[in-house]
Amino acid sequence: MPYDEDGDAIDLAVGVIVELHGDEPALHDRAVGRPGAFARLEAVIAKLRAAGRLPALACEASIRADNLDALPRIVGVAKRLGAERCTFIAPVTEAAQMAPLDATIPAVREALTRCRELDIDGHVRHQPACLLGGDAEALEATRDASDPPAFACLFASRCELSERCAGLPTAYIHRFGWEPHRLQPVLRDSPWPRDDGSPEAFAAWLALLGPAASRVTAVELDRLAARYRVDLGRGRSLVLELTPRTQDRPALARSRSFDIRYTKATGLGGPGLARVVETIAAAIVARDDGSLDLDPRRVLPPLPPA
Amino acid sequence: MYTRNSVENPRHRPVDSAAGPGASAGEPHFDLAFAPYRPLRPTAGKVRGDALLWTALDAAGERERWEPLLRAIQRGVGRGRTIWGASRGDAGTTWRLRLANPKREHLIDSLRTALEPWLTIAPGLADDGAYDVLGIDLNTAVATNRSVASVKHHVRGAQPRTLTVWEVDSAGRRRVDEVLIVEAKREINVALPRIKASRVVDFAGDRSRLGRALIPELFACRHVHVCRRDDVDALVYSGINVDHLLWFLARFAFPPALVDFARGERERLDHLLFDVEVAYRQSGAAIVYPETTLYGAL
Repeated sequence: MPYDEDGDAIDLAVGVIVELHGDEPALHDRAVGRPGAFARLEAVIAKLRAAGRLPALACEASIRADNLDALPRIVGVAKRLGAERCTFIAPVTEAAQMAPLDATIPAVREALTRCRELDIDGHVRHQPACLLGGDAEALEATRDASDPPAFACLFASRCELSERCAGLPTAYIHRFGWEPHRLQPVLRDSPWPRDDGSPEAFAAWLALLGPAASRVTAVELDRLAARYRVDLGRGRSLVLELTPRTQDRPALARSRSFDIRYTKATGLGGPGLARVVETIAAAIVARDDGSLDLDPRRVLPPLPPA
Repeated sequence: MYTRNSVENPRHRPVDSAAGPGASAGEPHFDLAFAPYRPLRPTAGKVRGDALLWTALDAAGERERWEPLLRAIQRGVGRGRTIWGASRGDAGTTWRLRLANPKREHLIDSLRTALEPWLTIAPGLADDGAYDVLGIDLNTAVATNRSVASVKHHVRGAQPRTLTVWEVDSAGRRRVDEVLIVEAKREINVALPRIKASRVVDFAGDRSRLGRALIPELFACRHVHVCRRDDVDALVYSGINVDHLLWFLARFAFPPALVDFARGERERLDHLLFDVEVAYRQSGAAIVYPETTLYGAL
């Protein structure tokens, strides 16, 4: 059974994602470091398709210094393989593979144009939204879970696009600079939603749990998650975690704004655990009116002592 | 073992002696500009930020030399008024102290009395109290001579959030630093021209140098202090969290004992914000970092 990067099993009934870094064998094989990889890729896809086990195919192509010219042609190969979707991904940490924005942006936009011509769903990751022009909608939002962040932008707090654009990889900035002369931020004309770490803001996060709030010993609120340490007494505890709502990620429950999970349950098990977490989750679902927001671009807000 | 992923209730964890006394709820928290902040997490079970200072002193083999003096300052000047700094450079480690003087008192005279058993402070200098922050540096020469030859007067400028730093002794004073303090992200349009108008780095000649002067991993700080000195520029990243601190300590090769301590106590330091300084200048085509400093509240 194949697995994705999160360890979830890939359902062949849904589709397969393959890496495709070149339009010809030498380029692709060099990128993945395995001679013959391109030929094997074509053979495996042909075999799956012949067996009727490949309803959908998506290709992911890295945006490398040595394949920029090939990106539009890669779309053609993807089409020939039967791909419905093609995603172009700039490297985040491998500085040696990076190319400057004035080279990558035209190549990516040409490749996205080619996607439209061939009726392929084109996407891009880790390129600044402000430079993609009419292709900005193709940018997949990056949620930077690293601390220190793996991305940064001088204009993060001043740009309307920064709610979905993480900026430049820090490894890129070290190599090519911050590019202030090249980036074209869309300056905000509206304030950020109020969430300044005031006691009122903190209280709102706590109130979300209803009666269980009295059991919370600590709240950790960062750009990606709200985590509540819940002490249930007699050595029983758990950490409740709220992350932005998705449609497809595993979760105990989903409220209006959040996926709800628990971790690190100690001294709890079986029906007791289920009863506790379901009660708390139900309280959150009932109270979440959509007004609380985990914003990936906001500076870490301070929290007062509990 | 208390690890990052543990959910052990920190309130129930005893504070061990190696980390020093634990943080207390009413304790003031303030940054390098003496601006107060609310701790990021409940303080119960946490360690004080000065645990990093004692560990750094241990790592340098200088705790015995300086701790009595630092404790005397802690007692004499009072908590909430002193910043310590551990500064690593070509000349070894320098221990920096900054003492707030909001009422423009004769702080040097007070310090002379408190430190009389160990050091003389700026002999012959008349203390006029005309400074907002008093800076003194402790290093091997100070220890050898048992005297701090000069002090630094930090004086607020006419423009908001500007400071001028003067090095002062009995012979006179000379300007050694011009500082502008801005919110890192919201006011980058103010900070950037100031950074790029450098006397020691040609940013126009190679635009990538900006990425090595303004360090992206530390850009998620609350304030940045843009400092212009004689032969270097420096940026203070004020208000970074413990994960940024760990990155900084490793990146700039602070002593392994300090790095290990901070990493091991990460969970008990995560209520704090930290201030770090990176001085830089151009050497040939490259950016070099002649001095890096970790600051904390004493």
